[in-house]
Amino acid sequence: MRSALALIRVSFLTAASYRFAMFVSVASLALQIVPTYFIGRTLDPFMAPAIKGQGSDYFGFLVVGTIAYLLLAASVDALPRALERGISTGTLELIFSTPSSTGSLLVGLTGYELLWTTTRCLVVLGAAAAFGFHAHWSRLPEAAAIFALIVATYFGVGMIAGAMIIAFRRTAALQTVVIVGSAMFGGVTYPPSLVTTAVSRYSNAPDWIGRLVEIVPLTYGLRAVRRITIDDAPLRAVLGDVGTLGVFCLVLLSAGSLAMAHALRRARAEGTLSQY
Amino acid sequence: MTVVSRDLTEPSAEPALRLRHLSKRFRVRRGLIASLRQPKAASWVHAVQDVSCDVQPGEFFGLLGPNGAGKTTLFKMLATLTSPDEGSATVYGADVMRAPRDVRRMVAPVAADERGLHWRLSALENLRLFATLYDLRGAEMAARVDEVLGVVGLRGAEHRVVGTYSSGMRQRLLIARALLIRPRVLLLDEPTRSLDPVSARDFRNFLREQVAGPNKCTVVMATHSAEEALELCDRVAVLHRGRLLAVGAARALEREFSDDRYRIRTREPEHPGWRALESSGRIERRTVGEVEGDGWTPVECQVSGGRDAAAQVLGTLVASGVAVADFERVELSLADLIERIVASRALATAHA
Repeated sequence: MRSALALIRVSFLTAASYRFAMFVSVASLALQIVPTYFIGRTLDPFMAPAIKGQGSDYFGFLVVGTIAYLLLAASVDALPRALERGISTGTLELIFSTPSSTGSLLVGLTGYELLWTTTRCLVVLGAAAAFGFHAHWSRLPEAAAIFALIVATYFGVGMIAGAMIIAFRRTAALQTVVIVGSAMFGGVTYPPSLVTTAVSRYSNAPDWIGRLVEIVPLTYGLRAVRRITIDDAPLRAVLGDVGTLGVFCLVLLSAGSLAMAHALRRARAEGTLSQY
Repeated sequence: MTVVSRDLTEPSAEPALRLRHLSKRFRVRRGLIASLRQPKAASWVHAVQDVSCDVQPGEFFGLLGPNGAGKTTLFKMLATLTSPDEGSATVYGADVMRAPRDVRRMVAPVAADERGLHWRLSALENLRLFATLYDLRGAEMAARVDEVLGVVGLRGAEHRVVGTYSSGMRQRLLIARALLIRPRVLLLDEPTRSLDPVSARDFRNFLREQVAGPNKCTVVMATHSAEEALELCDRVAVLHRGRLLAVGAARALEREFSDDRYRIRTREPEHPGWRALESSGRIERRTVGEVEGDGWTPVECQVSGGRDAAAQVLGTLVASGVAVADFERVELSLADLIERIVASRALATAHA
C-alpha cells in the first residue's frame, strides 16, 4: 500500500510540474458544462420519453453520462499509458526490480490518474450544480459505490490493454474500441434503448447490433446510477443492474489479472521488460 | 601460456553469487517477408551459455566482455528481470527464480544508461520513492536518504530537478538509489559509459573508496574496458558470445595475457643501445613507428620480467645516451585479451 501511495505521489508531483496543462484540464471541463447545459435543455422535450425511468431531466442525464465517461476512459487508459511511459523512460524496469508486489505497483502506476479523474468529475458535478443540475445528493454514496464498480470493471480491460503493452508494445486500439463502443452503446449521451429501437425500426442492420448494449457493462452501471441519483429509486430496484455489473467486474478483473501475469512472465522470459 | 582456471569447484560456505550452468537464449526477431517465407523457421541467439562461477562476499568482481557478450543479460537474470532458460543462480542462497522477492531485497542493479530516474522531480523525491518501494520508513528513510546523498556527493544538490543534472551527477544518483537498501550485491552495468575520462576516473575512485570498501558490499561490474576491470576488480570474468572464457584474479589475468609491451618516445630509434638490449634478450619484438611532428619517434617493444625489468631497460637506455621522452606500458586491449584467451584455450584443448 505504501508503495502504491509513493507512486501516486510521484505521479502527482510530475503532473504538477506541468502546471499549465493541469489548469487547462480542469478549466476545459468546467467550461464544457456550458454547451452541455444548452444542448440538454434544447433536446429535453425530445429526449424525455426515451430517458423515462433514468431521470426525467436530459441535462442531468448528460451530466451523469459525462462523469461515467471520464471515469471509464481513465480506467481503461491509465494502466497501458503508465506502462508505456514507464517502458520508454526505463522507470518500469527499476520499480519491478524492487521487492514491492506487482499488484501495489500497478495500483500505484494508475492511482494518480484515477484520483485526478475523480477530481475532474467533482468539478463537472460542481459546475453542473451551478447550472441547476438537480440530484438526490443524499444518494451520492450509493452512486459513488456503483461508479467505483464501473471503474473496477473497466480497470480489468485496462489490465488486458496493459498486458498487451508489456507483451507486444501495442494494444491494437483495444482502448479506443472499448471506450468509444461503451460510449455509443452504454448510454453516455442517449439511452441504450434508443439504439435497440433504432436498429429494429429504422435500419436494415442485423438485430445483434441492437443487442450489443447488453454486453456493455456501462449500460448497467449508468442505468443504476441515474435511477438512484436522479429518480431516487430504492437500492433494491437497481440490484439487478448492480449484480450484472458485478459479474462483469469479476470476469474482467480476473481476465485482466491473468493476462497481466502472463505478460510479465513472458516479458521476463524474453527479457523485454524495458525494451521499447 | 595457460588459461586461468574457471572456478567451478571449491564452493565457499555461502557465496554472494553462485551461478551454475546458467543459460539464456532469445529468439531472433525476423522481418515480415522472412516470416511469410518460412513461417515455422526460428533462429536463436545464445546470450548466456552455461555460465558457472561463484562471487564471494565483499568481492569487487568484474564482468569483462565486448558488446553482445551477455553481460547485461546476466545482470538482468541476477536482478530477476529476466528468467534463465537453464541452470540456476542464487544470491546468498536465495534462488532468483524461486525467491525473487528475497533476491530483490539484496540486489540493487544500476543500469548502463540514465533511464530509470524521474527527470522532472528532484533527486530527493527520486530517492524517497525508491526508499518507499524498498520498504524504508520514517526517520530511518530520511537518515538513509541523507546518508547516500552524502556518499555520492550530491548533498546540497538534492532539491535540484534531475533533468538539470550532468551525466555524472545522474550516474551518482543512480548509485545512491541502489545504495539506499544497503545492498548485499551491487550490479553495475557499464557505469562509466556516459562519463568523460575525468569523471570516469573520479567515479572509479568513488566506487573503490566509498562503495566497495566501507560498506562491505559485493560489487559486480560489467565493463568492456579491460583497463577499468583490471584496475578496479579483485577478480575478473571474461565473457565472450555468452560463454565464460576465463575467470581469475585481475592481476593474474593481466600477467597471464598481457605481453608487457612498452611504448618509448625517443630521438634515436636506431641507436646501438637498442640492438644491445635486443641481443641480450631484455627487449623483444621491437617496432619503430613514424617520426612525429616534434621529431620524436615512438618505439614499441616487449619487456619481460615485470616493472623491475622495465626500470632496468629504461636505465640502460638513458645510460647509453638514448634520449627518452616517454616510457609507458601499452594497455592491454579487450580485443587482445579475448583473442589471447581464445588462442590459449584452443592450445590447451589441443594439448589435452
